[in-house]
Amino acid sequence: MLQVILQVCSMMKSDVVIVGAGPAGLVASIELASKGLQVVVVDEYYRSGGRLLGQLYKDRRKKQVWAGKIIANDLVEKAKSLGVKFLFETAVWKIENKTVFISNEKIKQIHTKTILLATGAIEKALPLPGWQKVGVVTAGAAQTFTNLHNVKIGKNVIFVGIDPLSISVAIEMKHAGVNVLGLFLPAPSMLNQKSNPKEVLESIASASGMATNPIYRFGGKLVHGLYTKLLLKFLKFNLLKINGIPIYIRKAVTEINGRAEVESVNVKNISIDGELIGDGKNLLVDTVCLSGGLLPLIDLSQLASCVIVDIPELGGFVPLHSPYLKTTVEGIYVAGNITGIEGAQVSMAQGKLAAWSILKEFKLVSEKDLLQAIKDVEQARSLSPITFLPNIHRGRQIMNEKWADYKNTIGESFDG
Amino acid sequence: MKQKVIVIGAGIIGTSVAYYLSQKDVNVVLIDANDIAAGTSGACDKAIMLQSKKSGPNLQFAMKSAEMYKDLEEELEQDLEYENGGGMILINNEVELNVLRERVENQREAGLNVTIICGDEARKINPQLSPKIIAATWCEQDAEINPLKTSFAFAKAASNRSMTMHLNCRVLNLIEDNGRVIGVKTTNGDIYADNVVLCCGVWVNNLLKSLQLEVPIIPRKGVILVTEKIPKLLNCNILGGSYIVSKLQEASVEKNPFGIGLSMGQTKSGNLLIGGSREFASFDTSISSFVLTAVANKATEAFPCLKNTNLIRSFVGFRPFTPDNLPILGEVPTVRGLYIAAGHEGDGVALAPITGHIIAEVVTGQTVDMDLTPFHMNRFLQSFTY
Amino acid sequence: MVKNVKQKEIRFNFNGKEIKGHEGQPIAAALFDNGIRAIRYCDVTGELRGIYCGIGHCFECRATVNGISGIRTCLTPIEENMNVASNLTGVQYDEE
Repeated sequence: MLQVILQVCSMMKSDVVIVGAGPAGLVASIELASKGLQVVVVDEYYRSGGRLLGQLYKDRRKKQVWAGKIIANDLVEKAKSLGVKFLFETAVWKIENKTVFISNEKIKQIHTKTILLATGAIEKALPLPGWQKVGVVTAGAAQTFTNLHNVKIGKNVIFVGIDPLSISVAIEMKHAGVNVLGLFLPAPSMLNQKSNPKEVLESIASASGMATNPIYRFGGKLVHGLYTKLLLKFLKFNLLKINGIPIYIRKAVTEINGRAEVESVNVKNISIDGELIGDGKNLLVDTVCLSGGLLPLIDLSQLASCVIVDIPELGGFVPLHSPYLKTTVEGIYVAGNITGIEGAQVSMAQGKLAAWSILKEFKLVSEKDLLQAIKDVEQARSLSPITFLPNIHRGRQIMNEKWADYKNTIGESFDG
Repeated sequence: MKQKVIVIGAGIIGTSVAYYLSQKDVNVVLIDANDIAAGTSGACDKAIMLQSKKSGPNLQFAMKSAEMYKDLEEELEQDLEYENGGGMILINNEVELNVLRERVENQREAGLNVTIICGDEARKINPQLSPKIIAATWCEQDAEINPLKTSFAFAKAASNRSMTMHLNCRVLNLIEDNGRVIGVKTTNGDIYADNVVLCCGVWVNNLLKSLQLEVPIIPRKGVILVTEKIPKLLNCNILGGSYIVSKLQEASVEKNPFGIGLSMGQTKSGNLLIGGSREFASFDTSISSFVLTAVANKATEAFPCLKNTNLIRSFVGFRPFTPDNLPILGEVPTVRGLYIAAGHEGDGVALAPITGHIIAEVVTGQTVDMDLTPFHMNRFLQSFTY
Repeated sequence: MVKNVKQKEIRFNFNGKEIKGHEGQPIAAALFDNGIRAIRYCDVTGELRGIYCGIGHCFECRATVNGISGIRTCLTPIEENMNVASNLTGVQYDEE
């Protein structure tokens, strides 16, 4: 990178630079290019699609398979046919005064009128003793390697962390022929709060929409009224099974062992309130998938001096943005998981909204169009087959309130 | 009853003061709005550099402090990544050579073992150094330490004695009674004590305000670039000559508004910490591409082999600047029971042990065998109106 | 899931050993397919390191590719005759 900074800059121009070729970025690129704008999409990966690439599940409501890889390919083809330029294996290291600085062999800077940050999310660390060993991967890595690269990441696999992502990856992995021994909680520590069986059940409950399997259906009922009674019933059991995969809501992994690579884990029982009980057992495994949840990837918005706010309901720190996905920095927009953790369908709708918001600046769409795009996001949210955060609606409300406060504070006629 | 002392600020200065106080028969309470080394001490480099200080009281203090560092790992029973590997200031041209020659002369008179060596001798110590470097200063007494580990180790050692700690606890106000500070009002309630020591660097005026006091400590922004881990490249601390020249010639602010210079060190795990800049920009944490590029340029000029090295991040620290480049140490003249140990700018790491030692002596009423007058807050009283 | 058999076979080198993979695979996936999960040693502790996040964020899977160090094998697709090297050179690793 030192070299990258130092080389004489070769420059490129565009109307819009989109950072991230995932669902939000791809949809936005199509919307923008189809109205005649010059669009450049930058991504660190060697192909487009982002997290779509690893997604493969049945959407019960639509009675169809969500094959992210195919959806991504269709979007890319369309974007390319509209003249969208893609720069792969390219990282953005700075955004300043509508210049995007990139680490690309040939192009060093892109001068642009607007920027859309669609950088997505990263996985939270789940630092159990032994987590650095070879054979410990994140649930997201497990998903990519299983569904995209068709690689069996291990023979005997367990998951630590019980949440919508780990459950769906475990199912996908079992379909791919891997022996999934079960899902466990992480041992309670200062750094992770999701070791309390009660809270974990609540979070699973919130994923009710995905309901391809019994726990989500139960989950749905938990949310809709029968809550306390069913919750208590669940907690009596040490074991639930989903598609034949054991979910141990009363067992926690305390340590990952192995000389060079993973050989076993220590498992202890855990009380309803999340206290470890008893001596524990040793379980032979060669692979451990950690699922600590997702965090919006906001680094670039910070580098671009966007105002950042902490809204736990959205997944943590996120750039402050308007209902139209405008940030506090003129010309910079956001879409997808950088605004809060949700499913791909919501990201795609947000990609469209951000694009239309930009098109409005170029006077290529009307206010009415924009309101429709907002409605589309809300619809996508209510129809989403997967919900990662239980209070996402509240989170979006808080964001709108904070944006209104911000507008009042700066006292400008900020039309965002 | 035992004397009770509140120390505000858990950076390297605050934890050091707390540690040396805990060595005495004193109850110490350490308070920080965030965490240990969460401010300036967590956003700096790792040099204990003596030859960056001009001869005078600061250098005398730094030399005593450097001696204290030698035994600190053993004393605190912690690995602090201490290395007594020496340090050099790179000389790029005749102008720098002349400035540094005079400076080295003064430093030698003050008792520092520093010499000027030729470019080839410098390259013997750091073989990857650019052939364009014409000479360097060399001082064996320069050393390095991990300031994060040191802050944590001070805090731990103090906790093992008499100290209690309140982290994520913000001090809202000092409680004053009849011209004397008797405690602090915090987000966790009121805490009373016999004495209060302010070790909160660039944030010190936030607390002095309630007493209608102010000291001229101003945040000076410094940028540091971090590279990926690389095999051992640096065998000692590195400073660029232009850094010293710009430090000496404060008037050059117009010519070099970002105070671009070069300081380099390599961490135990192999990352290079490359500084930096010196800029007055209040508490703005943004880093411009200009500064990044300029600092990276300086580093690759000194070590051309770095051209293929990846930068992994950059960060900003706020150094507590004072107009005469000396920290403010000792009692606050107008308020009894209140002490200050702040304003070390870039010398906080080097001066931490001696600062802790001296403040502990002063607060417990012992005689100090060093002249503290140059560091006293009084020196700013005339020039400041409240 | 069906293996994409149409994809071209690619040969590359990992620490002096010839590895076969498929076009479009990142280096780490091709190594995984060949039973290699450990990519390098940690310089500090001497422990083995391999894939962790799979999306280029953690840098745990880095190696020297065609002479350039610090390349993330999870992000970089394999190419014919590519030379992938790490500090594991000359070390025996378990093959499954």
